[in-house]
Amino acid sequence: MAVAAAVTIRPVWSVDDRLLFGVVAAAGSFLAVFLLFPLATLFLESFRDQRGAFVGLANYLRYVETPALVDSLWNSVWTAVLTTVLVIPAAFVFAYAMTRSAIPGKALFRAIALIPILAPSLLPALALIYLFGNQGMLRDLLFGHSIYGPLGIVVAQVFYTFPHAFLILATALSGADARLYEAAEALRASRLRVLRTVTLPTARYGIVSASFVVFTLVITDFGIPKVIGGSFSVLATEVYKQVVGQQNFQMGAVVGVVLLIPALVAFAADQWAQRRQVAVVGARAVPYVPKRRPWRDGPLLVFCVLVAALMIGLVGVAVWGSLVTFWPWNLALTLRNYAFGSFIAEGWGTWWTSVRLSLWTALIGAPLIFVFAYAMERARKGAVLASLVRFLAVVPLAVPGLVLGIAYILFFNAPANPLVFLYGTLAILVLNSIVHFYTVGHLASLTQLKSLDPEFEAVSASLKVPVWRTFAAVILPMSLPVLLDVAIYLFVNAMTTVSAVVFLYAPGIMPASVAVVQMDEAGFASPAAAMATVILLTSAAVKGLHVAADGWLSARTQAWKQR
Amino acid sequence: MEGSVARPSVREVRATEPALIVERVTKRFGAFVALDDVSLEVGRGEFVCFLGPSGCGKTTLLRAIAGLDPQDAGRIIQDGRDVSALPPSARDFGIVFQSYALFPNMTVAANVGYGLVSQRKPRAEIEKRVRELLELVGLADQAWKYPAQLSGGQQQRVALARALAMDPGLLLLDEPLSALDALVRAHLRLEIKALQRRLGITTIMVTHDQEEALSIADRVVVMNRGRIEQVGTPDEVYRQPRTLFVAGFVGRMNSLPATVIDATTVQVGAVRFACTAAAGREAGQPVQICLRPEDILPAVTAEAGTRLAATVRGVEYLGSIARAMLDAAGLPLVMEVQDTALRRLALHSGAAIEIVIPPDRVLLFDRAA
Repeated sequence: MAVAAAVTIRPVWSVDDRLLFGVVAAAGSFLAVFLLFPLATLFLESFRDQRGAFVGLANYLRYVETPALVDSLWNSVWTAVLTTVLVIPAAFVFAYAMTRSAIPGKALFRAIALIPILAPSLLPALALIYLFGNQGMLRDLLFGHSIYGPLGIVVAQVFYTFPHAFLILATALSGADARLYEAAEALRASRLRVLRTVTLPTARYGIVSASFVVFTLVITDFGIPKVIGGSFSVLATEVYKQVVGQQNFQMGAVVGVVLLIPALVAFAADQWAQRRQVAVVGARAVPYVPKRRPWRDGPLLVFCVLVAALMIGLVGVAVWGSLVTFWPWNLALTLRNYAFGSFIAEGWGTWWTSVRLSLWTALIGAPLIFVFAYAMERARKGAVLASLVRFLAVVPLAVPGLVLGIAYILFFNAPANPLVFLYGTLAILVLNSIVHFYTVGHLASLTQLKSLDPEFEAVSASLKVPVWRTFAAVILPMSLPVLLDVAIYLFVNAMTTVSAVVFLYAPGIMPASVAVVQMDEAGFASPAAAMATVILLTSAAVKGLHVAADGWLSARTQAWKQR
Repeated sequence: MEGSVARPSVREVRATEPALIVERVTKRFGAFVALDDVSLEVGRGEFVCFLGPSGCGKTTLLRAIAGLDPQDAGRIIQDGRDVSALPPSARDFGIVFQSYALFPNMTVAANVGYGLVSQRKPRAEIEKRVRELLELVGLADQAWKYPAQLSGGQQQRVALARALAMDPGLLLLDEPLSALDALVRAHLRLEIKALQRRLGITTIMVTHDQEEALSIADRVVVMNRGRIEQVGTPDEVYRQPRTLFVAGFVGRMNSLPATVIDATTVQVGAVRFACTAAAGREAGQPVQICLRPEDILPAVTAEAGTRLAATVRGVEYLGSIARAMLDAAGLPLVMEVQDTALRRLALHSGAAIEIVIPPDRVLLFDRAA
């Protein structure tokens, strides 16, 4: 009997397949237009002259031949390295105290340590100026050294990056398997040996990850060097000078590309570290519950009190300064610095702009990111496109805000671009913020989706229920807390960010964080501190609402979690 | 089942036709061939088990039948309709997964009625059907609980009720019992079988547990490395394994290399076994000889066969039965005896006994020299 070849099957696409593929394609288009194309434009622009002719590497040659520019690269790198070296051990000890000791008041310490996340990075810099600046109260403590420059930058950066490092390290340390410690104890290992052989290895990749995050934050931060850097030039301020000061977009593009390199290296290294972090704690791990040990907890408590005092002190100084009539000569309290209208044309309008910007970013960004992540995770067809889009979705993490800002100018301000109407509107600020902070929301959404049973959709298909219904009836309700987390993250970041929006705002839509920079530049340090305080209070209020809403939401929609 | 929606008449017309035909199905994951030219027919109302070690392709075949991971080549015909290229939503099946995939944020009733609500059926009709289904699986009083408030076995029944809600022509069960305790598992397996009988629904269950497969299935499909090794009733698969793999995988087996002497005898080491299966084989042919532990009998029986003197090396006591590790004229053999026989024979380590092996219970398989 002749054996015929078996028929090859070309599966028919269901409505669900088409829908999910469509959403993945939409996600791809969104990230292409608002991330890939602007970055490509920036890249191409760095090879062109002012008239748009291709000049090869001429701009790059000019870059390396200009000592001021090369110095700024070196300055950025060494201040970032120094900050990292200082902040990681401190954050590690703090995280260790929060996760592995039995000290009292952990929740309070944790909350205090996270304060800097809620404020623009300029806030600690402004506080340092109050204390150690030209009119600083404690200026003499510096023995003639100036706070303006690397010293101020590094100290402010340590303060600003501390919570980011702390969060990563706390996560790494909290994943401890009590059984490992019991086993070590049963084998009579000394405490020090346990620390060296059990604790540190589990946290090792967390340390690597935190280091790179801190390094990237510092090298791409604009606010701190702008306020306290003085004549000490770094990449971030240099790029601002080239673009805003000299309207030299080509050199700005070159600096932008240069700025991308360390960020990309850090990003790649971090991805490497995270891949190795995975299987440290298995699903069956028994959580570690620290026991009281005075000789360990005592010093840790002292350390935490010290850190918390510094945090509150620095924030407190900024707030106090904003309430003072004339620092430091007339310390009578006043609200005059909060009458922003007398220092900057748009006055309180900038705060309202920021609130609108943050609200839109959160309200549009969080659902958009989640729906896109869902389609990428669950699409059954078009695997190649999905993996491509998934890659695009993590790119924003490696792109400094400043670079994204310039890229947006170059791309959206080109007359030939049909999207040019967006330029100078609140919409572009919102889109820019969504893209700028896309990755963290995307990864949080993915983690949530991966925790849901992958067969929900299969069961639904067998019951002839369309995928959008299962999304609405099962996936979304189960993921509401995560969605809320993402929304709050977007809100707070849009509220505090300076780096990208500083290139994109237009008259009438200046965000409050940019107003801080502008007022400081104009010599109104106290109103700048006042505005930074208002931003901090707004973020804190939203965060507070979040905690309340989370409780309410859990009670209302997560009843099924109770046994 | 009363109240079940009447099946389309087409199915009755074609009642003689198999409910499912799998025809030369191949599925690759990269270079790995998960299903290698698999063909199979499942009769209407039949309960079929796919049995095999992990990675043998049993779940892949089930998912291909469901359309969840479509095959690369080959056809799948359900009720005379070629569904090979259709997405799951266009096929006719209910499915229960190992994880159950119950919607945690919905009550038991909402889970079971999930598909019905989507079809815009009248509320009263949905409620009636859900009640019926829950009664069917014995959970009528749990309708308003959330899945997390139920035991594993109860969750499994909810998943079963949900899979049956749309009155599918085919029920697919993907290791539905493996997440449960041994006792619950044995109990539920009986219930599933009874339910399946009552509804007369064509059912395919994937399992790696041979005891489960043998106890529940009308026919067992033994799979290995993406191929079907044997299809047969449970006793066929157990008593007449067609390949060495089936012999070793289903049940316990003593397996030793041997050589054919003549039409009635094979030789293992220095020992000769009388063996009816040797008929038709050439003298000198290398074979693998397989003996079920329960087919090695203490020589107190009158049964005829190869008699060997053996020493007990150890006894593994398992309650109703016991396993004795023997050294039978230099051959390592495992013998299974009832607890009563164990007491009578006073088997213990070091004891010397005589065993007998009936010639018709000796299985032979080809072996490369």
